[in-house]
Amino acid sequence: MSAVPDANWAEGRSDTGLTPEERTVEQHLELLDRVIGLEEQLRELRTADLLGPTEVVAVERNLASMRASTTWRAGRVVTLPIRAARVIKRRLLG
Amino acid sequence: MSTEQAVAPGRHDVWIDAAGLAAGEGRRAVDAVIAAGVAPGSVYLVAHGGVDEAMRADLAHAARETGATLTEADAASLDDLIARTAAEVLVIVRGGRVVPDGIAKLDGFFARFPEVQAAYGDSTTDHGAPLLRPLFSPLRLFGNDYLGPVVAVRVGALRRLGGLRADARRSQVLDVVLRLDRAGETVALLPEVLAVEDLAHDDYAGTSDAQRRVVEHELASRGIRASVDQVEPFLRRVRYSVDDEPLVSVVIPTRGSSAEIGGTERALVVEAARGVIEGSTYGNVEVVIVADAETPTPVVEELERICGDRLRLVLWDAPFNFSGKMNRGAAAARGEFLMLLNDDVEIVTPDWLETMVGLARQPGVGIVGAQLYFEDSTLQHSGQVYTGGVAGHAAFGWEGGRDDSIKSLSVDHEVSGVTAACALVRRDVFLEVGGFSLAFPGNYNDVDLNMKIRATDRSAVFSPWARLYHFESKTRDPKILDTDISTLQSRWSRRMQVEMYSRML
Repeated sequence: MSAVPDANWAEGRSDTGLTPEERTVEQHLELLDRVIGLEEQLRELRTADLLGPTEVVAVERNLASMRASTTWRAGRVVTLPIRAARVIKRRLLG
Repeated sequence: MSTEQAVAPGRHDVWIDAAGLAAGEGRRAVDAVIAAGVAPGSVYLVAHGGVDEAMRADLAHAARETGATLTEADAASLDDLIARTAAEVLVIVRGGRVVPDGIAKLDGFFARFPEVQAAYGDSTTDHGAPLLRPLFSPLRLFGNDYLGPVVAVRVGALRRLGGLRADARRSQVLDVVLRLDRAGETVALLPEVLAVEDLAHDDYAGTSDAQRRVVEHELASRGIRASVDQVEPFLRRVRYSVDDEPLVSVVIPTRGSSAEIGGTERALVVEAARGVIEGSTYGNVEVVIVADAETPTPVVEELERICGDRLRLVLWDAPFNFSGKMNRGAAAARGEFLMLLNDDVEIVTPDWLETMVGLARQPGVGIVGAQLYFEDSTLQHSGQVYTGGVAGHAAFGWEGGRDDSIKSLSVDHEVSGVTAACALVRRDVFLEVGGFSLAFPGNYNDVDLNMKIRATDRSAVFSPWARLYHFESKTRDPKILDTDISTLQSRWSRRMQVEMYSRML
């Protein structure tokens, strides 16, 4: 892309900004997005299922295939001593 | 919890559609169903009136040998079967063979999700290549019957529907699922392989034409004004009426850059605006340009010359923020619809706006995207794919004209999201969801917008019939920030784990 000159095309024009009503809309968008963003963050944390029947089965299949993978199994073997130590510690310390 | 369980005796009737089958295939289909645990007495070979004598004899022989029943495909005979059966689920097999655990998987799915009244599933080719289907979509079914070789329906739902429709002869399955959906019943994809499929579809027994008539009937029944073009056998284009031409505000953010396209230096936004005004058949548009302060004055003057009184110029004099610029454009826009458009595009199909507005007016549709090509005519955008909490593009870099086995690049269909390089959305919907988030100044703002719209139970839809070039570099480094990803995932991660729309792309 070529460089663009450093000038302001809007100088001398009076109609390049938003009207007060339009400015209100612009501010409303920003505020509303913040509220929706926070609401959706909360929904992500909820335990209630967000998925329908098809997605539930698909997620379970993904999980099952991951647990059947060599990588997962190797990881389980590698972390076996740590997991065993945790179980022993929990039983000893209550 | 698995979806699979043992097949309960007498729980299913299986109809094997004999249309298009070659000699011997009927027998193989029956054998596969019996091997899947269905009693021979519950299996019906359904023959259409047009079947020749030799084939009818072959089917009769298959029925005798296996203990299945040969029956006629007319609605009265089939309705009689539906009325008399004690089965709970009717499984219809079309052009494929059920896999050994296919019926058990369906059984488990229906048992686990009582709200599901009809289900279809994935399949493979004879060579084991997967044919993965998308979530249920009437809009996509209008363009192509993608349901595959196995469709199962609860008999109770069929009875509530009043049985089969005589006028839907040779396309009963498509008709039934569309009517179920219209009646508010749940039709769902079971994302498991249910059958081995024969991909060599001919326009057998006039099925393709029958499907077109079913779609026309369904559109009329839903009160949708549209015409249906048969593009090729089994593939249709639906043109939704936009006779009243609502005002579309085309919002283009720009800094007035130029680039060499096809060996010619050109001011990008000028050519984009020229395409909207002179290269489009849709008349009722305004062009809202949100221009950085450094936009060259000659570019602005050329825009004024091209667009005349249909131009609204708005200054952006703050640090770069794509989301902020688009929100400012939307605030200034007057149209019922917003066309969110990058300045580095060139319109290919003059009726792109009619196509996208028509789709955006359909029930449940929230945002509509187009097919975008790189300068070398490879695909840049055919919908977004969300998986593992991150976003990508479906069919990215594919050669133009290439498609998958379920015609994903030839039919209107729902996608996880569409790029904001070219997206149409109702202005009131855009305002309802807070527009673009300023938390995403450069990346993922469109992903977030799509997810916000989808969170209102509206869909994102891709249309291959609206085509544009997008002169973005294939190797563009989007400079994704850590905060882009963390903010996106904090809002949507759980709902972006599995891609269920573009599973073949």
